Amino acid sequence: MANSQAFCSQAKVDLMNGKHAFGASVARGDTTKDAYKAALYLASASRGAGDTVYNSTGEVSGTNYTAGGVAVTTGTAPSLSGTTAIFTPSASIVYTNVTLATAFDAVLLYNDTSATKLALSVHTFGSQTITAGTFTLTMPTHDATNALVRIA
Amino acid sequence: MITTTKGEMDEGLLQKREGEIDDENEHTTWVEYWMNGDPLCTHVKYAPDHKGTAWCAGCGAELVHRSAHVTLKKPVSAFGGAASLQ
Repeated sequence: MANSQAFCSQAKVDLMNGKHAFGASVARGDTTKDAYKAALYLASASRGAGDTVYNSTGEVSGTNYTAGGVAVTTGTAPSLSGTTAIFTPSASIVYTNVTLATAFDAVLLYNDTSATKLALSVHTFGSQTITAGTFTLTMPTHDATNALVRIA
Repeated sequence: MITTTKGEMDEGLLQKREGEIDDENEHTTWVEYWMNGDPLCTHVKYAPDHKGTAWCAGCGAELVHRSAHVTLKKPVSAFGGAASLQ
């Protein structure tokens, strides 16, 4: 048996669970999991890897859509699949009976518990509009290849 | 009955149009219901007017319902690594 250089697999999950803090800015008052939300963005917006927090600039607006979006169901804790840490919301994200007349093509997942609404990820899709209807975002399979968020 | 911009409407009074996108990033299905148009028209959507109502450029039908279902396929990934000590 030889030593091998590695980013320890469990540490990837532990990062997802906030158990490592290399900076001094982490201050958590409880041990419960954070709440996440999903906000939709116009095709003309500029959401992406540079986002640090939820931003209402370019967010959709319309009948029955509340700024900030809807709650994300996080019933399945991050886990390891092989050496990849994975997280996928445990239910579809649904915007019910909305009218969103201007084309949108992205969703931002963000931490609604954090004071600054820390951004997690941006996911894009083909442009959509919704008229007195329902917009449903179904999650991919929760495995190392397809999970919505992965640290490989 | 279909939920529309006019309230609940009998599906038989509307023209239904469905579509699908399937690529490496997503699998998407959508359904539209149009009112007062040519049943043979493929319904090309206008941009919404100032009231948010969308119309068919071909026959003047009004879009009264549109729903979409997107299944995301492409994950976002970060890659961890450990450097060797020199």
